[in-house]
Amino acid sequence: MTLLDFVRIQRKNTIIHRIPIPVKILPFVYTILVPFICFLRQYQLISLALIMFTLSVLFIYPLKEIRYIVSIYIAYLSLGVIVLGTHIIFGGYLLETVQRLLYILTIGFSFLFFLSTTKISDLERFLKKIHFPEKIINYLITAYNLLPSVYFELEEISRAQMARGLELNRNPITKVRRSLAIFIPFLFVTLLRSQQLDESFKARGRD
Amino acid sequence: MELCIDIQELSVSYNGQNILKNINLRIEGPGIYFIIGPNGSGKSTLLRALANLIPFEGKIKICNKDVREFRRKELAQVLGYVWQNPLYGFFEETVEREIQFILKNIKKSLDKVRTISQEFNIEHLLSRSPFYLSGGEAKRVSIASVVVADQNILLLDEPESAMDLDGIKNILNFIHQKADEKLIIIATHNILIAKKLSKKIRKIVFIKDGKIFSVGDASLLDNDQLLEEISVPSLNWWLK
Repeated sequence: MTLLDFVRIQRKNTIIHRIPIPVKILPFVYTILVPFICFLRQYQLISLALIMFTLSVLFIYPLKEIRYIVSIYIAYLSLGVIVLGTHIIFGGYLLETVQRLLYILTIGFSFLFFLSTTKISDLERFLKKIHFPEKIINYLITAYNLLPSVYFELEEISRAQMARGLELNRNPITKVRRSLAIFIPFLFVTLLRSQQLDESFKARGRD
Repeated sequence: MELCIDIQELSVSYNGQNILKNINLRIEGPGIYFIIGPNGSGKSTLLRALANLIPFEGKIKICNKDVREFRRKELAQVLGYVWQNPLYGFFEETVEREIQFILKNIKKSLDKVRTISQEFNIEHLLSRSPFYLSGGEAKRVSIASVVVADQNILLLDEPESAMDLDGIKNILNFIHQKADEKLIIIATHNILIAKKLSKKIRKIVFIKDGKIFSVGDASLLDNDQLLEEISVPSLNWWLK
């Protein structure tokens, strides 16, 4: 899964994309509120699993993004292994650990579903309609729109460094050390971009 | 409206380094004004200070009003600043929205977007993402996204960079047309651009190491010795 994939899905125009925003955001809102709505752990687990299942089906069937969904599950599985490993080492109630993990995963997944299927201009209109503070809307929209370009820049820097002979081999220690050759210029470019973006905002009349 | 920029004892420091030192300059009336100097001489810093984008010492008056007294929205209606690296100023979803941004801020009608995009030949890019444009396209979009507000004063930082022949023709044509009614300041080290616009040049300011080196009219562009002193290649140097 890459950020560019995420942007690509967002630009599709399926039936899911056309669902009104208040409906699409429901799984996310419900997931957040689950601990306050259902007090029984079994019900919480069942409702979270149901949301995960429904969203997965929506990603596979109308959105036709099987690879995307597989990438998400692999990422979640890795997180699950770490969490369960920690559970084995430090102990505690397994069911509680699983519940917390499922809770985090469902929040992330439902949010991803919402963002992947909502055009940013629609989201902007919706937030303005519900009188969300304009300054926060602007920050959100800017941050969101910059995601693909920041990702593109990271790729460009990696290519430039590879063209100069940088190899990221499998040894984790050398990999981390060599990654600095990508991340330091990336950090510099990002800071420079944020400074110039601020200037372009001001130059065009935004305080 | 009076077109006038008055710079008094302007100094800019950054990280303990003096980038501009005690600049005094008065620019008045419509026409083209060039700020020419080598890389790192302080051209872009001067334009940024004029647009009140960086902290500075001294005084800058735009149309007889201290630039620091303007609200951002007011200043964006009077003075248009086009930054050097176009990509770093973009943030919207489409080119069209990028051009609309300034109009929304200053609460002007969005009708002008079509006209300006025809003028800069970017009509076909309106629905595209600004992040995936070529260098020349991005530059034209960044210029259009500022000048669409029809300000009386324009500050252009290396407007010709990254442009191909059509792009340069496009921007030169725009500057040429507007020079009779607007005060246009262009910062560059490209003497060829200044030569192309020489008929409309009111003043040329040569800048070196953060100080004004020389001020004069378009005839200074033929002074090879002066150009060599400030490390700017002259036309004869290019042709040699």
